[in-house]
Amino acid sequence: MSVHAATVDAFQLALIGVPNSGKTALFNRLTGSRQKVANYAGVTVERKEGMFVGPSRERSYRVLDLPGAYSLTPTTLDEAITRDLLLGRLSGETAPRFIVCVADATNLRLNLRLVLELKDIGIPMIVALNMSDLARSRGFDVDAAALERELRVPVVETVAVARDGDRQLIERLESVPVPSASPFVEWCEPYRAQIERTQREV
Amino acid sequence: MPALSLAAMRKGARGIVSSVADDRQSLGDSARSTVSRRLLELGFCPGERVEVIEEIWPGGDPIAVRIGNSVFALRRREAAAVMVNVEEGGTR
Repeated sequence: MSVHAATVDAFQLALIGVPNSGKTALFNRLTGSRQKVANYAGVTVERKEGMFVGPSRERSYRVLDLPGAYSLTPTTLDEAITRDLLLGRLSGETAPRFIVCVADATNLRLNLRLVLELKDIGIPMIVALNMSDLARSRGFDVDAAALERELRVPVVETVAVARDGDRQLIERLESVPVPSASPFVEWCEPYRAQIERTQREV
Repeated sequence: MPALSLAAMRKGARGIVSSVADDRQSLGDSARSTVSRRLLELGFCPGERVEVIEEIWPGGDPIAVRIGNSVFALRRREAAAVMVNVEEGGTR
């Protein structure tokens, strides 16, 4: 199967999330072996990109697996790369037109803080509640619909380690209109008071 | 409940975060990123339950701290920003 012709106008999306939320597992689930691994220009931070074709065969997706980040105020090189890429400040990279925020459903609060921060950037987003099976078996009430209402952002459940565990995510993606251009991103680091307010919200 | 710095707590000690000092220890590449800021982002907020679950030897530094459903390794120097109302019986 040739996906080459479709790569030109592929739906570009970036996976983002806190460390250990399962971004890379989900990335592997989505793209299988169709991956390219390189480094970001000039730094030893891995750049992983992959492709997949939607079940309708009408659309192909180009997925970027961003380095894990707790926050958009970086404390490590990985987090700085993720922030700069999201904000279109990284040379040689364009800001993603769409993001999937991978959130560990067994540890939602830590993950939701990042979701709220990402929401403020204004790039269209889907939240993937990953490890939702594990969260349920540990007795958490995983309610994607309720979270979606509260956040006013699409929320799906994923199980990156299970076959078909990305089905809800792919179905949602297929229904999203292709973003035409990178949104204008205007963002500044939050003040301490804002961090505390966000934590209360979470 | 006596208030104690998280840095002074031993393995097994538990309590509730009472405050996080606004320190000036810089962290990472951003001038604005400080230890206390990152601690808040990780969930070390007033009212949260914390527990020291491990002290790493030799020296008992760093420590492993449970907050919410997460466990983070902190240097005692970083943990010093967090004040905790320690629960009786948990201090050892």
